[in-house]
Amino acid sequence: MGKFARISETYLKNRKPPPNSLNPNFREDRVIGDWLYRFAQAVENEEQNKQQAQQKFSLLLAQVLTPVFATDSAGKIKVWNPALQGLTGYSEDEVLGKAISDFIKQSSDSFVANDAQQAAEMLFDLTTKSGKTVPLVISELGTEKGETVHVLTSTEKVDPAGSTSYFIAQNVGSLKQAQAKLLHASRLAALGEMASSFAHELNQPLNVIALAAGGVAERVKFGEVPKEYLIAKAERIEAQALRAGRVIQGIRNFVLEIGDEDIVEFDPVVKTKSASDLIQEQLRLANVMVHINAPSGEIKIKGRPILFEQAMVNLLVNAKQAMERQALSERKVSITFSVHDTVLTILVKDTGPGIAQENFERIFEPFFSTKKDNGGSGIGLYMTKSVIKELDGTIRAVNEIHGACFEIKFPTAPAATES
Amino acid sequence: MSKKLPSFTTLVLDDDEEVVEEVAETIALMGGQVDAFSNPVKCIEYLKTRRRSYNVLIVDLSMPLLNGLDFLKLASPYIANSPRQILMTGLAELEGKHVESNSMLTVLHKPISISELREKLGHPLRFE
Repeated sequence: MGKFARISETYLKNRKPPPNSLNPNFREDRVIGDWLYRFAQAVENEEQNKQQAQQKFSLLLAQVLTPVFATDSAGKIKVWNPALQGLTGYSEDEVLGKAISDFIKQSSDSFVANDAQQAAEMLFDLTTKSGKTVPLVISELGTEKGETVHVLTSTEKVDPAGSTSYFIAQNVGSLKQAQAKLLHASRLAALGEMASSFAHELNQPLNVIALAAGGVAERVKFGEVPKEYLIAKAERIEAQALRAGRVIQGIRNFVLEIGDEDIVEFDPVVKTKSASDLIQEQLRLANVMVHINAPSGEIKIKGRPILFEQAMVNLLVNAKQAMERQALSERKVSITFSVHDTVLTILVKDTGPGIAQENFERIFEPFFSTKKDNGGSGIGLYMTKSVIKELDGTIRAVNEIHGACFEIKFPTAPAATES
Repeated sequence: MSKKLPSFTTLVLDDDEEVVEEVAETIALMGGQVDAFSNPVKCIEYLKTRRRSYNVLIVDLSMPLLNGLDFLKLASPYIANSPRQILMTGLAELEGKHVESNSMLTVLHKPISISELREKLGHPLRFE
């Protein structure tokens, strides 16, 4: 069609027009007439296809459960689908032509896109008809000419091209619930992998308690027992009972529901140490040495600390599994923190065989695991990437001479330590 | 009143020093002699130089450096006789094939009581 149109247009533009109207008796005019007829038909078909596509798109917007809206480049609402009506209480008729900014109360979260910053995802609170607010995360569905149009401000200049931008929204509440479920699944998967070491960790102090108490009972039954001996045994029993309690507390903390965890400033070095402590017994039994190298001062990043801790647990478990075939003395993980300007870099290096070239593209995919026969769930690295992304960070994997290295970068909170 | 029991020699190995101390004390209560270790590598080094005989080896299954089953394999050339072997484990599972393949091997699940240990060893306490 395009080629045909170009040829016919060029012909019509350059030919010498006949002195009068088209003459059907002349062959040239008959050919031109035929071309024009075919051209008109093609245009008509194209129009019909476009209309059908538009109808299907409108039907999709009407039926889809995801809230969708569209604005022109001035931020005036052009589309407001029923799902969004259900969420806000405003019907399409009530909002069409109005500025989207009239319905938005910007969220206080710092990573929300603001006037000076364009973003692929935005977070804001939408005011409902009843005066409540619904927190939404907005992704741009598509724009004509591939432009990114900012719709949060009412002072946007009108784009003369009059482009329309479609946005899909998701209720942050349900998004957070989904993320919390995923995190919970990730922690349970890690817990499954750690079940044996937890059992071992708990049975060690119970064993000491049973033998110490049994020994005291036997000695007391059959004779005088020195007071010092009794005190020493009682103290040992108390210490071991507390040790068992800490193990149980650790398990409890590990599976705690954390969906509502607030965004706060925290020190990633401290949370990395607690991640290492959580699986200390598992690492110890596998003979994995963990070295954490960090600058002397405090580092601060903003986000959800337990999510970050889980990401580090996942990376440590991944490193431990990667080194299973290495000699015991060679199983080492180094975690190095450094801050330059406002960027925190964390390097998690192991001494395993590295990542196979064919797996580089897939290691962060959900349910992809090279250790499925060995209990790998394939959730860990996917979850880690999701968590780091949520903290506005990035992660990439590279192979080094001796093993794999995961490089994580985060923006630091103000007053972060310079390394 | 205590009575004189025939002495028996035991090797106790667990990476948790307090478990080692308690098991060793229980063995001593039964009148046994104990070589106690918390490091399997050091224990093998000791056995290499001494080449002793034991009545019973009591070894933990989960240890860093060397697990209990591997330890028993590596240690056997350096033990002068073929003693009974008791494998202690705090793990919920232990593959049956390891146990079946060795009639000298008994499994004790932690936590272990004194009476259970006494029964497995077949020795009464020194006071009884």
